[in-house]
Amino acid sequence: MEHRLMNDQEIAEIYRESHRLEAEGRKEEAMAKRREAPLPAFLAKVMKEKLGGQYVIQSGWNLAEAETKFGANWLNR
Amino acid sequence: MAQIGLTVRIFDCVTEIYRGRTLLDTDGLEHDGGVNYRNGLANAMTAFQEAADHATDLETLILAEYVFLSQELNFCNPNDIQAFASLSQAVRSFDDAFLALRTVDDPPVYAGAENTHPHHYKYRVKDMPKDAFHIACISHRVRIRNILRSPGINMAEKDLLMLRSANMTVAQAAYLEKQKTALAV
Repeated sequence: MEHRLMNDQEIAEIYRESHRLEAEGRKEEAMAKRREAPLPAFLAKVMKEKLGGQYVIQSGWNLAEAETKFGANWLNR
Repeated sequence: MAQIGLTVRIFDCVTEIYRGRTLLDTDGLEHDGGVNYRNGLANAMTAFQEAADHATDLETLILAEYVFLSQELNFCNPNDIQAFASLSQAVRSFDDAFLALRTVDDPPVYAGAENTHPHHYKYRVKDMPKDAFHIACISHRVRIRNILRSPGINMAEKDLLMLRSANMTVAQAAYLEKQKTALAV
């Protein structure tokens, strides 16, 4: 999955699409859609500290905000 | 498709609440912000209830609270000294709770730690050490009770706060069983 920064408009559109999927009963697809938007950097840090770097990678989340804030190699530190 | 784990859903709903709060302050996206915030709260209710229903997984139960607190701390203005200090202390307190939770799963180590806790009732919970896990849960329940007294909380926020408070009681009850197991009581 592409990890890229997004502006508020793009993030809002992702969430609108995820809500459309939820309304159709497609909950897991809706959650997968929401993971296309960047995970906020402070939450990515919590995920790494409490669950480990491997979990972060396998979570499937867009990590662009964390990579921008903490550096490309942040999961290995 | 495999069922999505509770942990992923916790991060998902807290992220949605965060995005909702951010978009509420963005010109032209206020409606999206409100929808995201309410949807995130609703999903958080489900996630916190499920965490309580599976209280034997204490790490996930307190992780849910920790992730929520982290979001609240992130939004707190550092110039609001009292609130910032309270939230920072809560996060540090749960950091300690995670350490206690790991230690209690190692009976010989925990038995040694137990000897450092006074046996006076002030330092005990149902005769078990009032360690960092209990202290985090007790302090947090008090904090939530104080927040519930504040004006301006909507019903959805109030319901979630009450559930989070109840989860601290559930967590402590489950943790007591772990302590008894570790200390062979």
